[in-house]
Amino acid sequence: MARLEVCNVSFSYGDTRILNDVSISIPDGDFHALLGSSGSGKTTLLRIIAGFLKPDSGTILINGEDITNVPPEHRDIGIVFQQYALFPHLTIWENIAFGLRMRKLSKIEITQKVAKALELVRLEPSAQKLPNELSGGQKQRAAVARALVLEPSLLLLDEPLSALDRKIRGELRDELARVHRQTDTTALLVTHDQEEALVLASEIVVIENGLVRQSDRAENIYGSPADLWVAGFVGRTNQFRSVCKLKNGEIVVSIANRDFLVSGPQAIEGNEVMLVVRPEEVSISSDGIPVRVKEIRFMGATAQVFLTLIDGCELESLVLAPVARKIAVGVETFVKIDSSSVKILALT
Amino acid sequence: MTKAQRIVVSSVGLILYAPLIVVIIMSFNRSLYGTFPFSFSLKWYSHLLKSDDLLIASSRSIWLSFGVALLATTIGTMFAVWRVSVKSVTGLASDGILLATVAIPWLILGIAMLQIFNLIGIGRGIVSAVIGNVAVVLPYVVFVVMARLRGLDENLIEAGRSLGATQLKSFCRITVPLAMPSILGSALLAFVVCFNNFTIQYFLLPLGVRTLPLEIYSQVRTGYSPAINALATVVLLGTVLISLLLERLGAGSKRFRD
Amino acid sequence: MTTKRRWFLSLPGFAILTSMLVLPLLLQVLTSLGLAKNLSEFPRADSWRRIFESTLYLRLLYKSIWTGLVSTAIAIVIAWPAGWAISRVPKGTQKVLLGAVILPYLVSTILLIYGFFVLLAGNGPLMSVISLTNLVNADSSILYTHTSTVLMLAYEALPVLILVIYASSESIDQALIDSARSLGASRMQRFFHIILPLTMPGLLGGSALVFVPAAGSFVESQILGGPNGILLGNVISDQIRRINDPAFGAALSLMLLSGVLTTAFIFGRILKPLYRRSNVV
Repeated sequence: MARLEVCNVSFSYGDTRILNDVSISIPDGDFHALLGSSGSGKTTLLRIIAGFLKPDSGTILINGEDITNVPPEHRDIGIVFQQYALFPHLTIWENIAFGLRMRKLSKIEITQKVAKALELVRLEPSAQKLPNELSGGQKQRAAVARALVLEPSLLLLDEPLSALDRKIRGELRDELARVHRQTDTTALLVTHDQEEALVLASEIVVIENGLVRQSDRAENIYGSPADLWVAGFVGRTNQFRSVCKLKNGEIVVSIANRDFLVSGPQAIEGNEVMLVVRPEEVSISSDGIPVRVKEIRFMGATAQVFLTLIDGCELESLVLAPVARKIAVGVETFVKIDSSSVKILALT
Repeated sequence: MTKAQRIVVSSVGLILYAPLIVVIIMSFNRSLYGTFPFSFSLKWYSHLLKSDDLLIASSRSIWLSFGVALLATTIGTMFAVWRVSVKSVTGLASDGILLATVAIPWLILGIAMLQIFNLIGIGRGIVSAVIGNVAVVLPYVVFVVMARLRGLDENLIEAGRSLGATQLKSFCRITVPLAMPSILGSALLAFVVCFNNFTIQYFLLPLGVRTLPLEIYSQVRTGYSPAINALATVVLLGTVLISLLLERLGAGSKRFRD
Repeated sequence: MTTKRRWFLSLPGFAILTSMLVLPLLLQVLTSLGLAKNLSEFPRADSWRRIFESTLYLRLLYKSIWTGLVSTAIAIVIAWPAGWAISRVPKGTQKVLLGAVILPYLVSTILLIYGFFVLLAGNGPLMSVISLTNLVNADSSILYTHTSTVLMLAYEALPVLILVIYASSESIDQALIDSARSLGASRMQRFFHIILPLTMPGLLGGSALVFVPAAGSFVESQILGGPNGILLGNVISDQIRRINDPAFGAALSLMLLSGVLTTAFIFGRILKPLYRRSNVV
């Protein structure tokens, strides 16, 4: 349980700059996420924090102590790998006990702690099995137990759910959340899946091309993205170009000849901006902006409805399935958009 | 590579190549006794060209290995084709026999073969040596070709069948060309293994008829022989060329895979 | 050619293998036990009597097996770090390195033995270099001693072992090593608890492949070994080439074969606990 500080870390591989002056801070007990696509540098940053790579510049601090030059064996960090990395020739019990054995704890202590860890992830019945006898979800739980049994200051998770089936992913996500609540370990999740990040982490650091694009509470990353790239990366968007106009003393922008009140640093008269509206904020109603239904995609409980405006522009709406069942392709209907749902961002 | 890895690989490389490097260097050394000081000379190479016994032995080795490679590749490929279609115990048994042939010292195999030949009445002879070498080289051909046949995409063959080719046709038109690089590769392997096989030839060839390994052996037993250095260098060069050829064939099979 | 009719393809192969391998060995065993008619060339029941009359042949067997074991052990010590290192470098470099490892061995063993001979000779290159340390005389050499035989056999064992260890090491995911490190394992601990158990199965197979020929070798000891370096293999080849008593030679070779196989079997058993369950990688 500790504070993690990554200060101004840069890293290059040959001529390529992978990380550029990246800084992260995780307070004691918090669960943060490092969100980025492949090639963004997130895995490299994780390996630097873990100690497998040395940064070209910058420092890593745990509870204020500089561990940048400490080898991984001596860092008090637990790691859960993407492919679990369970030792194939050891039973689950022996896998979990491994770290404790390396520390030369007494047999009694080891037995106690391993039992507790198995209980934590609810794997007691599988203790004597070998890793290849377990399902993906069970293997992941074992990997978590193995890392946590050492009660590390920091827990690193490297895309822990990406190797699992969709269905199991959800269950394991809940498990991880529960385990975190119970142990209160400081944790950093590295992932490309924004749903994972949004659900598990309290704060998200969005990273792209080695730079931090935005570092904020989860709801803000989604609700108030810092720029166009983040907006498009985390969730779907409707985007419109517009110019800010002054009307009755306030700044407005227009979509399909309707004016919307906006605010924020970009709300300056004459400023050309990009408007972003999330599909779920576009509600289908009996009056408002006229649209025609172009395509409906049912996704189970929800449906994506693709609409065209009078001027030909496209609009995407996300509605609950019952709503979508009331309309059909080719039908003319209306949509309502609330002013507060319109976010203005700089043209990148 | 980390520093430690670099050191390890360099040291082992040094150990592996030390005898060869020494021989190559010495082949250019004037000294008759393989001692220093070093003075450059090509006289051992010209001596080599004049050594009838070495040249005759070399040509014998080449002809023998060529014949053995031809036979072993044909018999071995047929055997491999059969083996990949067998799932019963017979398959395991044949694997076992092949493995035993590779694992049992050639000393023991050589004696066993000699006894059979004596029993039949042939005794030592060129024919015996050919058959014996084929037997010993066979597992290498079979395993190499088998591996390739197993790795062949079944889909390609089934595609051929769905387009109307009969079993025989798809075998000739699809399977054989795809496996050809491995077949040729195993032929080269057979050639090399037979060329360098001292033991079997030692026991099965008639006394006085010497292939290259036997010739080298008889000369070396009496001590240092500088012409052998020159010969070794030449053989090494030949081997490098053959290996590069094998590489090309390996690259060729990749072409087929795409 | 349907699958069912392919069996005739196997005939030539089986014919050769059976007549060259299975048949003669079987006959040797049968005649030496007195179970089959006395064929002039094959071992007789009294061959065994002759073998066990004195301890000479048993001692030679022991020496040959011991030589095989020691040379295999030396080769393992050298091959292991090399095989492991090769598995950790990029794929392209791997191919080149593996090719470089095999290359010397495509050249005839006789030439390699000769190379060793030249290398180790008194006043030759190696001794000239070593004598610079003033610890030994340039004239002396380990040539014509049993040691040079052992070293030569170890040298011959290297490519097989390096290849085999490389193959086992390759299959050990780097993530396993990383995770062991993150759990606090030092370099030694990583080796004993992770690398060793997981490479053991392959290593044992490779060792058997190397130990057996080494124990049955004779050319190396003949050229490099000197009077004290005689192995059972030398005596056997003598029976065939020089003395012309193939029956006795065959009996001795049976003894060699059984001794070697028994040793391999025993070692396999002893080392089993070290790697149980490692085949599940």
